[in-house]
Amino acid sequence: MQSIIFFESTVSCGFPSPAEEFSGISINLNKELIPRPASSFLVRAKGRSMENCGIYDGDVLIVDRSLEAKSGNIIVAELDREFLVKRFKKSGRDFFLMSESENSFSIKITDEMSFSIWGVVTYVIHKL
Amino acid sequence: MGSCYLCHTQTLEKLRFMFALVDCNNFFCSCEKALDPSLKNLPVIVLSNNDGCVVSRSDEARALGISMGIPLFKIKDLVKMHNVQVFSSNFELYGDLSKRVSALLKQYVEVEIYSIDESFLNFSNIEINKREELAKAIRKKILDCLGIPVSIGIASTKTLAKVANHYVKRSERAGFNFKGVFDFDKSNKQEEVLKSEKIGDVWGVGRANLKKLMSLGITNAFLLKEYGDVWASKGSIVEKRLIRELRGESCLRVNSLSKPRKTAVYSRTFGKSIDSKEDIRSAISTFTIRALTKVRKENLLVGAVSIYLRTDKYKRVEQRYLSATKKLNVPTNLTNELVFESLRLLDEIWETNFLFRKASVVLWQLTRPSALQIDLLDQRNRNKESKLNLSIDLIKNSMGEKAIFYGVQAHFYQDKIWKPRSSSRSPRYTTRWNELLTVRT
Repeated sequence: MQSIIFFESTVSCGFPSPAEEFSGISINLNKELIPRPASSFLVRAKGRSMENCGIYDGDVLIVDRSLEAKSGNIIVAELDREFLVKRFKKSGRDFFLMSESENSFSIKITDEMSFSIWGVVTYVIHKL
Repeated sequence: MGSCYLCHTQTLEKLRFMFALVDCNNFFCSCEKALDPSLKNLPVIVLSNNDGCVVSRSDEARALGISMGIPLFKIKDLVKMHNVQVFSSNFELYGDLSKRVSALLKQYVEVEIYSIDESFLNFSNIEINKREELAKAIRKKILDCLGIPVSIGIASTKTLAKVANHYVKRSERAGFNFKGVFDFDKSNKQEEVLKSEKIGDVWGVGRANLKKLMSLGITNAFLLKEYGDVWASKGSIVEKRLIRELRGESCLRVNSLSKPRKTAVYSRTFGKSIDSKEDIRSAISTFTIRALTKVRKENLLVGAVSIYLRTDKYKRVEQRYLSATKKLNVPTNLTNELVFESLRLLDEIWETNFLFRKASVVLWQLTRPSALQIDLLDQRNRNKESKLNLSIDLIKNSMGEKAIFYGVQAHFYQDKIWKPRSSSRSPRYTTRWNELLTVRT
């Protein structure tokens, strides 16, 4: 018994393209880079203190507010009524915000400060 | 699922409905605060279209005595004295955040979006002891992911869920900590809660009913529930349903089949007065097109068109309230035809040398295509035009409202003469690439 492949599409003349069943599939950047759109935000970085980890002035960051920040993550923090992007470090019960540049400095979070973690940075979009 | 007389009480219990009404607190102000940390603890107000009146107030602004709907000019001194932050409406931002709230809610249970800041959740399948826990988890999720605080009222009917929601909001404002959630169904203070709900705040009691009920001595939800039968018997199904809902009998399901719309209106006040007929023509044609998109969305046809034009009622000049209506021979949804009719109506009512301030287009006598009556005198090639309109809709949907438009609208889009004032609108942080939030490194 010989099996014959049946093609669903109409054939005007010649053979149908074997690539046809793969047409329509493409890479969707939104889906790949923003898997949780409801809680993800795009923000623009201003300044140079995070260049050592690849965040340059003017870059767009994808921030996911549904992720729980772990020590070592790059985060957007709300500190004294301003948004900052820094590396988050936890040491015992102390929180630190570290910058990543030549003049590296860190901020220790104290009780007097108004501080909260806004979201975790997942991607940097850098225009060349 | 057939009904069975021999069902156990347990099974009957499972047939009960349970609703959770999720309502964003001071929604527009909360949106502004969520994306601008410098506003923390400051009094914030958001103004209506054209910066006329207050449509949203933050808790701090409310505490200063700023009432809902008050015109800005009346509180100018208060604003200056207390550093109240004033914003024009930023609908793109509010719409986007509202969509996100809905998306998060849908991760938990079935959701019925009621308005831009309220949704009913179907809690019917949630165990009685887990309801409050789930509501608190939902509240925390929305706060953590979006920065928007919400209040949640849980009850066996939508009307009671609203009462529960009002109760938790009122109580928290008075200083009690409910963590934003109140389960009315589980509460043993139901009578107290109903008594604290003023009759005017009960969902479904309009201004006309309010007067009647007050005169009957029914001043709160509890009294309406107990003694509302006489009033309801004189009313329509709406009043009867309201009483039943207050008594715990659910008459309005989640996502109950909504009736098709009866009219589609697009009405706007201009940013400044216009006396040029060319400009008004642009406005009327654009308004007609925008009203028509609502009709097309529900796949309906228009049977009659009305246009309204009025002068600035706040200026001491001779006033004009102009209107005209045309009943169409054949119900249609064709843009060309409707724009043509609207502009012809404008020709009919037009008077020169008047400063017009507001225009409205109303498309009514909406019917489903199957009820179409064919006029033997109808000459148009509707099929061809319909296809053209579909293409235009597709282009507008994928590339934006302004990607393609009719010649007569050109004036409207280029000069923006009618554009509402929005002098202090915050950036459209979440919908415009060029207006993103800035974070300092």
